[in-house]
Amino acid sequence: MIGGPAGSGIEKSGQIFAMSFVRGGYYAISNMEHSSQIRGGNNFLRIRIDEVPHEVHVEEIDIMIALDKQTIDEHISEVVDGGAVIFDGESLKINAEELAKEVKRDVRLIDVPLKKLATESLGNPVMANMIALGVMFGLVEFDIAGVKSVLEKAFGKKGAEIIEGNMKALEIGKKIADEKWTKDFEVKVTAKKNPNNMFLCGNDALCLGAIKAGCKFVGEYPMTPSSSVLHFMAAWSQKYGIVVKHVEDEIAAAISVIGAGFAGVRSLAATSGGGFALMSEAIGLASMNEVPTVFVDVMRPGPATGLPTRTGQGDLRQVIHAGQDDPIKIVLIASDMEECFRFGFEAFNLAEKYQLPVILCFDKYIGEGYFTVAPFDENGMKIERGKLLLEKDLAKNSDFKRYELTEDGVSPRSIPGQKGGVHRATSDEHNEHGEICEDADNRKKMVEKRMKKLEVALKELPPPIIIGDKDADITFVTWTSSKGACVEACEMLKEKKISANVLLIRTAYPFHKKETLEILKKLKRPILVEQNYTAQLGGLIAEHTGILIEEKILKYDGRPFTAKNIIENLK
Amino acid sequence: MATLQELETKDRSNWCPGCGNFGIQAAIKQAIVNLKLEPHNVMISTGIGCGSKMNQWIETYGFAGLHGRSLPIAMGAKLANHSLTVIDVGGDGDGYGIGMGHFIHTMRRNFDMTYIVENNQVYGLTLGQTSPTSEKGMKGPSTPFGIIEDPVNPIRLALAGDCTFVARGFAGDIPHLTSILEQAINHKGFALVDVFQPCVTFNKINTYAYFRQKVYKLEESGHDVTNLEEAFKKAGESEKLPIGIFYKVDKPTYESSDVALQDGVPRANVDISNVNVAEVMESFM
Repeated sequence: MIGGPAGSGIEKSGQIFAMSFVRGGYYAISNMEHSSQIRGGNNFLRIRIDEVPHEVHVEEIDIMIALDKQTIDEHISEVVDGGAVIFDGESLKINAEELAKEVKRDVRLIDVPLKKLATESLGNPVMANMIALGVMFGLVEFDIAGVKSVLEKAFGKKGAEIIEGNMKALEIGKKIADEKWTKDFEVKVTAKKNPNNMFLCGNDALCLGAIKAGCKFVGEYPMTPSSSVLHFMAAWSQKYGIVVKHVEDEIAAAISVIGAGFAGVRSLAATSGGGFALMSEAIGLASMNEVPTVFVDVMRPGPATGLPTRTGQGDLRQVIHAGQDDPIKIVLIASDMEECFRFGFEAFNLAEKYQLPVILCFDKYIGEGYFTVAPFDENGMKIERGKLLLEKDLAKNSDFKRYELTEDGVSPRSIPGQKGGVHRATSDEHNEHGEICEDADNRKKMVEKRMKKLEVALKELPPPIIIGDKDADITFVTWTSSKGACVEACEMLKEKKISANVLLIRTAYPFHKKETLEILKKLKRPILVEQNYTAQLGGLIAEHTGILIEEKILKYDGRPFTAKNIIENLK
Repeated sequence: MATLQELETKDRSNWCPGCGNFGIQAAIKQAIVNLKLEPHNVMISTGIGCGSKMNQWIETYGFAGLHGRSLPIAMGAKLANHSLTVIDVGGDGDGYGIGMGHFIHTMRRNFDMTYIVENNQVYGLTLGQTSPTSEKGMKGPSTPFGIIEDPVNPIRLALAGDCTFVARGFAGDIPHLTSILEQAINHKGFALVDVFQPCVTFNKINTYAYFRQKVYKLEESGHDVTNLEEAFKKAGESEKLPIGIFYKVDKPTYESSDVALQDGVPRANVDISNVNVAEVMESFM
């Protein structure tokens, strides 16, 4: 773990550190806990490294790099026996001997004059972080030569000087560790062959899916923790010919996406809860006018500023209820990198096949959290544009009806620029030609037509799944990132000879009523695990299945679950 | 190439008899015909209000969206397919009230599109409340004692907002308005055409007779459309009301400057069947 004041470069140095281990053949996950301040306030980055993949961090710390006193005060209790704390006693005004008396445990207190060394040896106090990382790499005997390639990628060819400076800093740190501490330190992470895994966050994975899906327009307004979607798409906009527009507000974002979708381009708007609220009216419009659009809500707690840099799962009700009247839409929930990618891709197919808004929802923990995964398999990923007609199809039809009543509710679609497909889309109720028509019989048919699409779509939406043993005494019922903590809790319970598995809900709207009910009926002891106060998923399940899950483990402090949290809360 | 007949829809408009929107509709259609545009290459975006019904009754592609939000639809459509002729039509409540933010921002981006505001200085569809351009003191159901604030001056606002084509027309002078619209559509950039549009039902102040008495044509007064300072002065006149082009300047359009559009191919025409993302994945390794 690396902790320190905001603005002290923790994230950057931490990512270099984690990436080095990924290249060295390990599975790293990293999760930043910010206070919402640009400078000052305590931030910390937890990095977990193992030979096998994990989807959740642990509370126990083997090595802590403390760049401020607050990190030590708040987290030293989490450092395991035999673990180490690397800090700069001189700059932080901490006396190592006094600290040892306070700690009273076998924790190696590695007091290094980081700032002094950085200034004197490297002429740059900023290098203090890299010296600390050098100490850490030394302790675990990780070959720092492997870090160089990471730095080369991060800083590019122009950064030769920076890379050299960083490498020197790492060597200084490593030497300090080797002189006194390395020999007795038990945890070793020696480099293996690079398996070419990816180290990325959920927002990145979603963007990959969107680019793969042929998304060519992004309308967005920055909002933590979704902003990196905007940044990422902008960075790749030239290469992939994606128009990325940072617009004046989330209303313009959502509506420009509808405009582009209407004009035949796959379009995306990502935001968080507050911005999503502003998009709500537009989602109702996309539903009524049957415009293919994709929206993403990366969830975090609170309105306005709220807890912008924390995690939460409080938007389920907001996303499924977005829009006026009975709006049609599809709401998918991603729980890991693979799903952020796959659902990110599939959302665009679904939007065009069923001509409606698709909302992908996940939380900050996976949206901004970094995980190690193998490159995604692109085989079998097919672009499906549904009933989008070509000009030659339109030429055959002298009476084109954009909102034609069909068996599956999906009408043929034309886009501006196509001859023979001229029509108007309007939020007024309309007839098959798209002309305003408030006739009662027409209204009824049109509502039913739109609703029919959901019924058909449901068959191909990701159903609820059981993860782990088929039969178990305990089943954690959960959604989005809490899956990771639940799966690990099952593994920990297995060691205690308690059988547990996970029921993961992946589509929130429309709802797999029948499939969910069938699973629920067989469960011995279902327990809801969610990061909100009211058990929103539990409510949704009850609404659709009539089964109210009474036992709940809920967390709403803005911090992610760990497996330990879940087990501790198990009665 | 369209004919006026081809631009007729099966549906008939339902504005009040004598509504200024009839004149505006006639001018839009005539401009499309005169410019030899194909109806399927024209997209008309509207919001909500009497005037926003405009695209229901012109046989081109059209999208009627949310109140005040027609411009983001137009922006999205233009960026999706910049080969389209995009025309946005809305009322003063739509564009200068609820949609003011979008107006200011879409204008400064200089998309190649035309924004026609049917400025009747009143909310018609919601039965006669005062609007952002209502004259000070005007009474309506929401301001029974008269509106206190000064009206928005859209021409001055557009000039200050770096709009590259700023004009005003009068719904009672269709040939003149048609000529303005043709120039606005031909202008490579964002063109605002504010139109005096008498509301015969709710606005008893700004009537056809009122405007006929007050308007004069800028081009007949020797106005220099490249003189921004002079344009500001003209925009402030209230005794007599100038119509015509206040200001015009050439600047690169947004779509010509966007890195993603440098190949000139509208995004709607790009083949998306097999996008290779290997390079992006490699960036994470």
